[in-house]
Amino acid sequence: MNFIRRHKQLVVALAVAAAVAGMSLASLFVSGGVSPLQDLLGAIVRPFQMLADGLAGGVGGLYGYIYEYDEIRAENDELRLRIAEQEEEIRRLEEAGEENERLRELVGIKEARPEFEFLSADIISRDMSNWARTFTLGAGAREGVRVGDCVLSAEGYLVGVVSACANTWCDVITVTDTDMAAGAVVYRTALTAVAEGNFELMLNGRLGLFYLEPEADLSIGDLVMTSGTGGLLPKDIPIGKVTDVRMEKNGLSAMAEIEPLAQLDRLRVCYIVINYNSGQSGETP
Amino acid sequence: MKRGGAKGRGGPVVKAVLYGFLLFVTLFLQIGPLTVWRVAGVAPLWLPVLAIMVAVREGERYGLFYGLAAGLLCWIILPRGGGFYAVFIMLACMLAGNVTERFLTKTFATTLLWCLAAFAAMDILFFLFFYLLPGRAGFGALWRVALPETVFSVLSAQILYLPVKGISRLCGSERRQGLWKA
Repeated sequence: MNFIRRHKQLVVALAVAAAVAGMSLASLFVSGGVSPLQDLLGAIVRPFQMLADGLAGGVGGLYGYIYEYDEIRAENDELRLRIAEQEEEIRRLEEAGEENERLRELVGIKEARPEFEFLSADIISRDMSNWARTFTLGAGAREGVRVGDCVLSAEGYLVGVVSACANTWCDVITVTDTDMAAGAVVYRTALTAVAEGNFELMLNGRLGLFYLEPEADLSIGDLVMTSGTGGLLPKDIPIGKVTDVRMEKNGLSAMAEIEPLAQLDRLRVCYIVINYNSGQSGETP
Repeated sequence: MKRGGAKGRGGPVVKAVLYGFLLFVTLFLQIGPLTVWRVAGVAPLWLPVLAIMVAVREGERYGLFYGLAAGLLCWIILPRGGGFYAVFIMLACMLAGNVTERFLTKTFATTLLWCLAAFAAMDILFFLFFYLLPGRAGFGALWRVALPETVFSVLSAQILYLPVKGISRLCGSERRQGLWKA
């Protein structure tokens, strides 16, 4: 006991060494090879390791950021450029899609009316007056447009007539405007009349078929087309359908209301007939 | 002779630029969003109303030029009427500016009444010369189009009174610089 008292520190050191050796030996028999001491030390040290690792990563990243700044910036610029190029490509594709759609329409209308020479034009301005139904197209005399040219929708329905023409644009009076007048024929009965714009009807988006015999054979839903009389407009262009038949106020003749087939409010592109061969007749719906 | 904030030598130039910008903005609205803003089947027409407002605030000389500019723009963007809009709006602005300077005070109510009177007169004359006499429309057009157009245009355009008043106050309105001095 005296030896232990005298060499207390040595004994403690030996005891600790023996314990460590014992645990090390024990770890050989534990699956996974991790002793309880390692486990304990690991539990204590792991958080510090993680913190140190994090700091090292951060410092490394900062070092990389400083060291590779120019490279990153160049890469960023390149990526921005690539995004801009791709956005431009998307825009071009969208434009090409619209152009493709328009060309398909043009091919369709050209096949339906081979005797017509068409020019497609965008609507650049819609009517701003409450007193008229007109719009402006982005094609003019430079493209061969003349006053009196007939304007059709993509489906081949009558939209209106060119009323004024500048070099790069033209004004169009639509079929419902008060200045519109065209020889017309009812498809079912071959009854001829004059399709005219009328102020009251214009406000309802319609036009009228005037100067009809009181006993004229006309029914609601009858298709009305241009007759071609007078040579102002080509014949056999669908104008609209009869929605009402009644006697005129004078009591001597009848009139019919016509709803245009062309969707005038939804048009974006029109087709101007800049030339046509009046000797032929195209397909009719 | 200036009244209100004289705002230095550049005042008239700044005022002309600001009023020109306001005219440009109104034109942009006129040919864009206002064409689809319809009440009772009619879209508002702001350009003549703006010109009358400026004339009432600034007097007959300013009204003459501003009315002429607004009228020419109406001539360009509106079908039919020829130079009617240019001549009428110019004369109406001169009259409004002159009478207001001589006999009236420049208040919101004065401006509103002038706008209503001038717009109604313009629509009636337009209807008379371009629709009734040529046989394009009967008197029903007055109730169906002229009346709602006048009321809707003048009332909706009162929002322009704020910038007009603001410019007038900022740059100082002209006083007794009419064509016919008393």
